[in-house]
Amino acid sequence: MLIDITTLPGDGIGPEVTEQAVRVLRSVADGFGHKLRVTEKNAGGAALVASNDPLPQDTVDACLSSGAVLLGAVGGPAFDKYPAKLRPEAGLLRLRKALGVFANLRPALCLPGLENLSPLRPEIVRGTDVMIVRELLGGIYFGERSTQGDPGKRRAVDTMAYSEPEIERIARVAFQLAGGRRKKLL
Amino acid sequence: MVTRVAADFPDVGLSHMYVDSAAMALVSRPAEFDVILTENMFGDILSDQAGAVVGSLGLLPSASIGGKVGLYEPIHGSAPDIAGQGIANPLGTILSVAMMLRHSFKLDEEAAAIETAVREVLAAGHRTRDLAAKGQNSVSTSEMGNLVTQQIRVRLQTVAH
Repeated sequence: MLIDITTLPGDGIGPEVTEQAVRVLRSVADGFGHKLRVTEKNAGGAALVASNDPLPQDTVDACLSSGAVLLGAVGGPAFDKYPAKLRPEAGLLRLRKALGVFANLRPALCLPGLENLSPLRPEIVRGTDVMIVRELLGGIYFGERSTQGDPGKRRAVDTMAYSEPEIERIARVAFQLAGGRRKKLL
Repeated sequence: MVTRVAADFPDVGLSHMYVDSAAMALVSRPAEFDVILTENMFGDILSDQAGAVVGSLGLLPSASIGGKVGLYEPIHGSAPDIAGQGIANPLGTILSVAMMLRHSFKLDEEAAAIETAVREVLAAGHRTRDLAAKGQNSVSTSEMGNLVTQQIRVRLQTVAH
């Protein structure tokens, strides 16, 4: 099959780690007889410097017309001088929204022999293999917010709202994943 | 709502936990967890906590899925202080590619080939600087990429013959 991806190497170590990951992907694609098409685009601070936008439209278009997006890393202190809206992290939030990705999968795995990397005692961390399924497009980070009142007496409100369909769709992702693992969902 | 969805997945055991208890249990008995479903902010906190519990931030991938196109990225940041020195750990990004093959392209075998290769390279004792113990030798970013690539090739040849 055709593995058609967009890469967004981004900032800092992003480009060097992305380069190695694409290399590994290429060897797997070759080994299994798949065709690979990689389109590289600017995102984050790199895009901000090049075009004054951490997520240029042509990057969004490329991502949306490919099969998957691989991102290295974005951000860094060099971009703190820009207004919040233009910072690399804001570009990443916009990208998640544009792609409609509502389920964030965050595995945390302790590989045999690497127990010493944990701050915990080896016998506690040994065998850890947890998959956190985090909802990514709702809740307090996207809720309505307001500030009322005079300075010194101001009152700030953030809202954490979820609809039933938003919960149902993420729950289905989690159940499906659990079904292919140890079948325990919390 | 989640309990209602559970009816469609009778083989999966569902239990509920308050987030404060989950945070404690994740440190005191992390190996007991399988899948944790949580909302955005709690998930933001718990997933960073889980990463710190296993202690290898440079190794951890992530996937953001459910929409038109999936987004895959390592959980570490851009680390500008070590950029360009060739010492960054590429395994978080390499394992993100494995997640991409599994979730966006439904290529389970290909994903497993990458994950197995990463395990084998680590089991053979190769470490990037962030994973190396004091005094232990470490390999560069591109050497690590090379080791994983070689391991995949060796494996596939063994299977083919």
